[in-house]
Amino acid sequence: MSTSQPSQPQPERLEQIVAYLDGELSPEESAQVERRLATDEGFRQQLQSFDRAWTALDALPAATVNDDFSKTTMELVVDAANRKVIEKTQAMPVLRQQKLLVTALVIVGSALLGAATFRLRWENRNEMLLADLPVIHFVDVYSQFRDINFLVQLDHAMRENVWVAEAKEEVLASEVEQFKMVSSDQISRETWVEQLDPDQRDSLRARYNRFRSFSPDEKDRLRQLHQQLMSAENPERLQETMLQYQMWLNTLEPGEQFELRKMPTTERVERVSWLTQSEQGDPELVLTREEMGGLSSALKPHVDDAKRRVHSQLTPGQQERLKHMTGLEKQLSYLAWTSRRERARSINRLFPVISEALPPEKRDRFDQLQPRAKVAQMFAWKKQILEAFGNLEARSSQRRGPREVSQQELEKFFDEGVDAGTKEELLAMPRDKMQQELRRMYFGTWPRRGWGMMPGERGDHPRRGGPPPRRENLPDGGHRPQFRPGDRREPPDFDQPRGQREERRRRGFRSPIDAPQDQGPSGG
Amino acid sequence: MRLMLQVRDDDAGAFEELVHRYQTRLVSLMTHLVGRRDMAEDLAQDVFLRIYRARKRYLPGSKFSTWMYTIARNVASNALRGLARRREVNLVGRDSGETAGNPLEAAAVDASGLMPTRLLDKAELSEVVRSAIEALSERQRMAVLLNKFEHLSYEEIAEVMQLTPSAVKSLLSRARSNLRDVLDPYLQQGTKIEEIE
Repeated sequence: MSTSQPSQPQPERLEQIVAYLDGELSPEESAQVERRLATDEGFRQQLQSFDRAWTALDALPAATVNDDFSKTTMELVVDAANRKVIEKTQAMPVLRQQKLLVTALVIVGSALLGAATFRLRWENRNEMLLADLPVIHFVDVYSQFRDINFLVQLDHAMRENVWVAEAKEEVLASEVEQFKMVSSDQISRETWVEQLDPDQRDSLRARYNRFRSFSPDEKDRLRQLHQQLMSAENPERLQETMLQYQMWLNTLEPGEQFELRKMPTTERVERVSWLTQSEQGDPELVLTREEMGGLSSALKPHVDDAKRRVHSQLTPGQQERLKHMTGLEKQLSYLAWTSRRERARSINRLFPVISEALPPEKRDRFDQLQPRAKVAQMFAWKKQILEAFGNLEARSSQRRGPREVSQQELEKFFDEGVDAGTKEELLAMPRDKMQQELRRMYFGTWPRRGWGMMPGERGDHPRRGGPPPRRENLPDGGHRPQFRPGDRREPPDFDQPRGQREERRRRGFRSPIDAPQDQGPSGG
Repeated sequence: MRLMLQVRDDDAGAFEELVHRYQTRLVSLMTHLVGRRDMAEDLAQDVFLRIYRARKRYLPGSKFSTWMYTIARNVASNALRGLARRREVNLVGRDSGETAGNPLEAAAVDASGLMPTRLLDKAELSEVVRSAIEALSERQRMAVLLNKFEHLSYEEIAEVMQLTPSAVKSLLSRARSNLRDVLDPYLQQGTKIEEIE
């Protein structure tokens, strides 16, 4: 054994050190220990050695529990309850036994019924997922509106407009295809669930839990909404409208999404219509890369001024997003947010600056716009930048996956973007789980880069697929449930009633979502 | 506590939620208490069963986790006694020659035997820590696990183990001293090598 370890303290000293480390000393006693620590090297070494050993306990391997545990536990409890009733009945005198037999039978019956109900409920989780799959998978967008009439009006209003996301036709086509799959028969739904990759399963599980957290009335409302959509006069058109609306919503700030949700149907449709028109901008005013650079240079001093005035008033979410923007996108974001707070006065003063920075033909065009249209044009330029960098696609792919990141990028993220404690946790995991967890962290936390770059200037990091929008950019304002290590909400249980389970096994249907396991000894 | 009150009122859904919420913690605790993963799930289920049977005796205002750990401690103690009777105790379990009669010393030797001239990996550290925990007495082990992983205060541990807080203080200090004796040489060695690298 090594002789270098600190000497063994006296029992009183030992208790004092341990209690100090456990935070169990009074403030006076703690102060006394700290004074001694400052002057007594031996004492300090003893304390440090205790602390090291205590910290080392974190390496104790974590236990994991599979899905069957709670199921068999509940079965045990139900059996025990049944036995209890029977034992009580048998122990009674014959007359009382006869007298109470009926009562006991009722109790046993109730217990059996309860057990059957429980088992049915348990076993039906898979059925529930599959039965409600379209509502669960599209719970974000179904939660956005109260009535199918909204989609009808929106569809009518948007006939004259163009969804900004419509340019991404392949994304929309994929969403439509998914909608059809999850809305079709049971076997197609199973097939669709089976082919999901782990990330997509996580995402589905999160939406499933979100759906489960709704009240029975709200669940019914969403189911009815889906039924109305499926049986509408022109279902495919309305479905497409809904999916486009969802894609477009994903491009809005959370605050904007919230404002829209609060509006009455008609007002909301008008607002959506106006916003989408604004976002289109004037097709003659689409800027080239050089023109964007010129505009950026012209705006810079004014943006610095705006920054001084409004930065402290921005929401934490806006401030965080600004950190990951550069160039004209950042400047336009500042100006857009400034215009909201200062009722466009300061923005109006910038119109000549913008006009001056544009080439002659675009300058004339810009000068002819009404002030409101000029502000809208600034939004359009911002959108143009976002689209140029594939941001809309990235946001949309957040829900549908797959998300791609190279191994090299993951390793870089591990080296540079993960703190020491988290690294330890990750290294303690099996390799597959570590990779999966790291990917999840990457897509959840790695700062967005390259937004200020033009296409072709993307640097070393793959832009497509990651990093995705931050949580506050999600359609429900960041409240969509996410699974993390230690998240104790259970995933859907995909066990099926025995007959169906056997049938599916024959067809090769495998349990689609694995439960995430708690991390750390005793689950923290 | 709210959940347990619902369980007391025969809400099966609440009990299911309770099982979900505590199952991993309880299985982990049992694994480290009895030192056998294969027994841990059965013991944890036994704890849940006892909780269900005793649900009517649960007092509003008392902390559920403290109550649960009290039951868990009794179940684990019974299991360890049963193992001892069947001569199946294998907590240290190594035929370590002259150190066989002293589990702590055996664990320390295990640890020093693993001392590296390189930085040992997580699995080896984990094994050394597991040995050190298993080498503690049953009471010390219980106190350490409740303190370290369940974050119970001395007062709560005292309630679970039916001791006074000052007895818990002594118990924990002895346990930590034992852990340090086993682990610190190993850790110091690792640290030095890490610094060199």
